[in-house]
Amino acid sequence: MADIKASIPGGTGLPEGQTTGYYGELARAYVPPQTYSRAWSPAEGLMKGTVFPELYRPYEPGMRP
Amino acid sequence: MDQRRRELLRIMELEFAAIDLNLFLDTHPDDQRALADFNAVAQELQRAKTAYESRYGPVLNYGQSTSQGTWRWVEDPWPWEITFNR
Repeated sequence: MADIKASIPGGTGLPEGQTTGYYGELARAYVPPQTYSRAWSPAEGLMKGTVFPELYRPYEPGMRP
Repeated sequence: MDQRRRELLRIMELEFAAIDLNLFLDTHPDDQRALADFNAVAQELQRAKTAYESRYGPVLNYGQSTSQGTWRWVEDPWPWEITFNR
């Protein structure tokens, strides 16, 4: 097996000599709470895929991330 | 679009709004504005379904209305046979 320690930037948090087990924190997800503002009409919501304007993230043709 | 499709589309729109507000309320059960909007949508949805069923037949196989005379659930058209060219 390849050396895990060498492949993780910032180290693994593992004791010296240990190569498996808990690797330490690689990432943490955070989602802010949604606040209700207003809802689109049912007709507009069905076409857009959500009734919440704050959640609307349309993909446009040719759009790059 | 004919009258029947217009009414069916309205039910779809209201169903979508109801479930979207449903999902928000799952995590925000005390949000009074969202609750009021949900209740308004739910009421209009109930009216739309009742009106549609009185004219065209059931939108659900059970849990919504009774079937008089014959078993109307199996009448054409099936949901996948209805198109919405606008």
